[in-house]
Amino acid sequence: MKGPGRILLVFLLLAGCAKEPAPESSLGALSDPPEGFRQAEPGMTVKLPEDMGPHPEYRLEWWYLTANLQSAEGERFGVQWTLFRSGIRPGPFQEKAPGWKRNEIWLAHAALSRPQEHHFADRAARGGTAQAGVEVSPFKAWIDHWELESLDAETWQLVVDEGDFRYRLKIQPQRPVVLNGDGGFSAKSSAGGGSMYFSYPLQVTEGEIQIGDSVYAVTGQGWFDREWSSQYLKPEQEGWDWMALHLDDGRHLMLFRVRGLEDFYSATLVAADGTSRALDAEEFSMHPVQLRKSRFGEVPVAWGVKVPSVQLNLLVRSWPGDYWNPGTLRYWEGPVLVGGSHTGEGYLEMTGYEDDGSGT
Amino acid sequence: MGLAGVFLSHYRRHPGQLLGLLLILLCAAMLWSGVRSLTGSAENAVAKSTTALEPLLSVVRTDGEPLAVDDFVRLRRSGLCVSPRLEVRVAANDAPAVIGIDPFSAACLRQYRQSPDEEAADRELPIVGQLLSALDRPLLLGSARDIARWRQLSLSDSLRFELGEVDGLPRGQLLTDIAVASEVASLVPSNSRLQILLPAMGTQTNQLPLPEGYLGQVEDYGVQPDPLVNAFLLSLDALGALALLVAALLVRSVYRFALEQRRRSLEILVRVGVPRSMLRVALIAEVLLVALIGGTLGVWLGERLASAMADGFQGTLSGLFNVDTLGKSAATAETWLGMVLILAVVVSWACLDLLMLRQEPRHGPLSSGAGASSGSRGRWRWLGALLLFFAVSLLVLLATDTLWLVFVSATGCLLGVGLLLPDVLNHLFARAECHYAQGHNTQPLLEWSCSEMRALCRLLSLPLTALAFAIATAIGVQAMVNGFESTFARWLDQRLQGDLYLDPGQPVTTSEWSARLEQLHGVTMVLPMVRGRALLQQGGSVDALPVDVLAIDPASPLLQDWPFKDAVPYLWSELPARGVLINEQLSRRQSLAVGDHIRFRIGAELHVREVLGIYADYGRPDGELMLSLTLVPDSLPNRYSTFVLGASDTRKIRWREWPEKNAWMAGSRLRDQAGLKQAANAAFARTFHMTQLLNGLTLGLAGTALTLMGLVIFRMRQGSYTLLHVYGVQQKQLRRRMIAHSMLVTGLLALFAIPLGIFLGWVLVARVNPAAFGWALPLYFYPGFWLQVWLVCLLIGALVGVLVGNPVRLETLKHE
Repeated sequence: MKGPGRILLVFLLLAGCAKEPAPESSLGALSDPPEGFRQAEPGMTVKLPEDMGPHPEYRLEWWYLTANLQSAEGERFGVQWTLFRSGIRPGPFQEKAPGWKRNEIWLAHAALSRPQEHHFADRAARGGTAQAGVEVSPFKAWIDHWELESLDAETWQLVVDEGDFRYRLKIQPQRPVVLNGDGGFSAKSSAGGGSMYFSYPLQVTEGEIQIGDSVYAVTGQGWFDREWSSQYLKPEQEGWDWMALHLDDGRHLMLFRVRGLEDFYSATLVAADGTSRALDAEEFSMHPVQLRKSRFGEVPVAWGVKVPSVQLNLLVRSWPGDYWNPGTLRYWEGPVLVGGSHTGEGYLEMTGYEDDGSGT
Repeated sequence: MGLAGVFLSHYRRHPGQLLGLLLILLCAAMLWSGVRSLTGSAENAVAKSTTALEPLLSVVRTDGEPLAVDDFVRLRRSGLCVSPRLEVRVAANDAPAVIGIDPFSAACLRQYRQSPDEEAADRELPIVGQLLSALDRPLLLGSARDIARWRQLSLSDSLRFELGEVDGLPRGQLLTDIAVASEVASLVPSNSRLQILLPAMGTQTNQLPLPEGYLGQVEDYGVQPDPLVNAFLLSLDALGALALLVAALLVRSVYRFALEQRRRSLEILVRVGVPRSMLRVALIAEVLLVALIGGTLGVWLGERLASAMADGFQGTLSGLFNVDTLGKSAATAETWLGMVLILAVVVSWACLDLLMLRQEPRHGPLSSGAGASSGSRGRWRWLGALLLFFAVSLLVLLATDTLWLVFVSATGCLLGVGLLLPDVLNHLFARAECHYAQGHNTQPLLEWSCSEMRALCRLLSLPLTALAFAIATAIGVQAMVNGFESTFARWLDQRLQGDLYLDPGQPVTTSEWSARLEQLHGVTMVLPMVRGRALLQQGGSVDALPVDVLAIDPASPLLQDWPFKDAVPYLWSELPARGVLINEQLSRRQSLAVGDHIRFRIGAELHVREVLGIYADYGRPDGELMLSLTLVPDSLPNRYSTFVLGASDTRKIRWREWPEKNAWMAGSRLRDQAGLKQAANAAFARTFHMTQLLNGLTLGLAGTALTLMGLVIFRMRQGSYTLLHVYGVQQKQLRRRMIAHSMLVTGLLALFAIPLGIFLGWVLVARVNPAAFGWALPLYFYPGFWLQVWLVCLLIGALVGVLVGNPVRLETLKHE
């Protein structure tokens, strides 16, 4: 569905998004502290399964899934599916009966990537009608006919059908949960402020992807993020670089950098046995090593990532191609291959690089 | 003194000529650009509404229950691209309807979808974007008029609405987010209706079947009668073009004088060494400069004219063609450049003679009598060519039904006759001259007068032709306008048999409302009239033609006096069983006559019925079928019921208070017969006031130009008058004679131009009207108006004569 693409832009302008930071010029008003919304603060903890559900008292949250998949013939695919919720007024909302409301907005992005190929679709809905929403038990997140729902205690199913592409994946979240930052509070700047953020590494045990008339059976692995906050990036913070890497030795590494006057770094390392720990900024480094000219400007597509304490010296390279998710506040979301001291795969997300005036 | 100085010196010596030239160009540019500005913005509006239209399905529940939010969600969750529309009608007289849409799903419907082309998207209405960015506050968007009306209502203090003016929204509607519309419905007394719409065809997702429990009904066939709107706009453009034509003739005549006056100074320039090529370049530059000044001022004034007329024009378009989205359009650089180019061509034609200095060194058009024999041969050839041109144009006019060809051939006829007219006058005066010169009839003064008027005809041939055009246009258009008004008034009298007319302001259940209306005190009869749309499927054609449907109760006594152009006997009793009535537009367009059978589809049902009668249906271009009420299903697309009420005595019953006193009538509009007639007449009056205004301006332009030219010509003839004075004719007598000459020429011209006007009137009612609107009018004659025009022409003649003042100037004899 191409239509709501523009709606997305307005939505993002309206709501802002920690993953979608924008310069002050376009989101100036949004950097103000939102009235009435609760703030994520250090010391807060994650409570499951409740925190898989929506947090209407917060301004912004998302359910974010990326996966690297492979067919039996060795063809590679990347899948992204994200559901955002943006509050217009702070909840919880008293009236539970479905109706036409102006309390919150739901938005979803679906992308399907192959080397040199990227498909994208979006959907938007108002809250209060049940056209989109999230339920905790059993877990279910949906907008229109796209949905991510739990089939049983171990398995989720993701279904997206968008005309020129569709996918249906069976996914097993790997327990235990990965609490990012300080027990789930993930800072976004050294001056304070951040979000509640936890993740699950994923195994895709079974799946079917269709592009045009071609159908592929796939399996693979991925990463699921759950994050909520009421705070946007600081005006001087111009964008961010985020990666979720799956190493062949069974470890996972999530790391990000928020670019600004002073860059802010954060990472979480998940061991092969599922235990995880947050890495201090001094414990790791990430820096671009190669730029690529793309539709909307030059983007760093190869990165050097080092975690000396665990002997990781990685070269992370994007697949060949252009992986921009279009829109006024467009962002790059594409699969990567990992080389260097260890091999693996993962996803790279970058914002704030577009050269049309809304970026750096 | 440089070349520019020499050029300027001509206009310094003859400032009136420059002023006249600029005035003519300015008026022509103003008329043309004014008309173009209006028709251009209307064309855009039509194009926009056409692209916005698409066949739409309205989803209904098979269990007959009204739709709710849950239904929308269920349809969306099944993968269908549906979008809701909540229409809220508040219980206040003439209040705009509040239309709530869902900006998040609105892109499913083409009318709210933004073009993928960014540039085109910028030109489109950013309505969805505006609603999205105002989600945190209640914003209502609408036209200035509807916003003002909403403010007057001051409905609820609990909802502080932000009001935004937006061009291009349908009248009588305020657009808002569906949640805001829902809030309005809950806060103020109102009726609301939720619709769920989806495109009838198109995207792959909409190929999905509707879930069980739902049905799709055709909401809109998505077709607009834009060829008819374009025909109407073409008519206006043609009037603008006529103004340009008149201007071209006038400018050419002004330059022909200039030719004579400037020839000497131009030849001196050649003799002193200025190359002819440079002279030509200078002349072209002069032409462009004059066109630039006249055109720019004209375009600017044209914009003012257009904005002054825009309301009337908007009313006409929405009244006649349901085109509501007339946006404001400023003059673009293209309009301006186009105008200047057109004027440059007009002026270049006029000064072609100046450019061909060498080719015509001695015989200017003013050198009367020179080269008599070759001139005479050439003149006859010219007259022959004009006659041939006229004959061919007339033949084409009679043979064609294509609107633009009708215009072109009618213009050809006008041009042919118009250019002949001064020659005809000349010939008449020549005959009279001979008459007074012969034997016992000899009257030297009369003979001289005839010769003098011949000279006037020759010298003023082009402005006279222009005046003849203007007279013909005025008479022709007046015949059409008045003919229309009287026919329409008679038609309304016959057709409006009821006493009161009720528009519920919302789609209602016809039978339920009929029953309720019958209970009202003072109501003696109720005739429901249901309107909707059907598809005509004639001759196995693949393209079905959308037509309006009017369903009535044939047994109602209110219908019995309806006039028909052609009908079978007892048609009202035959209608329910086997027949259908059609309007004149449909009959003409589909070549249908009484007794023919037609196939049409109403909703899902196909009908074949016999045409029992053809009725006049003035004022709208759309084809229409009239059917018995029993034949029309509830699911008729765009079904809308109105009611004609018979009342015991409208003066005694308080019918105006009904909507306030009866909650179920909230938001409806009641009108009595007089009110309805007044409104209908007002819609047409606006259309024709505009055409009359254009006519008046054209006539004024031609009259002014003739006056200016006349002043120059009479000054040139002063020698002749002075000589007579020397021979003993009194100055006063000569002055009276001069005024009489002038009046005779314009008066006679008007006499000849009147038949031309009648001809033009015939073209308009019998050729243009059927092509543009689908109905023909009888041609009426209005001798009273002819007399007025004739008197105006005499007045112009007298004015010229009076303004010239004393024709005797002894100093003119110094050169003899």
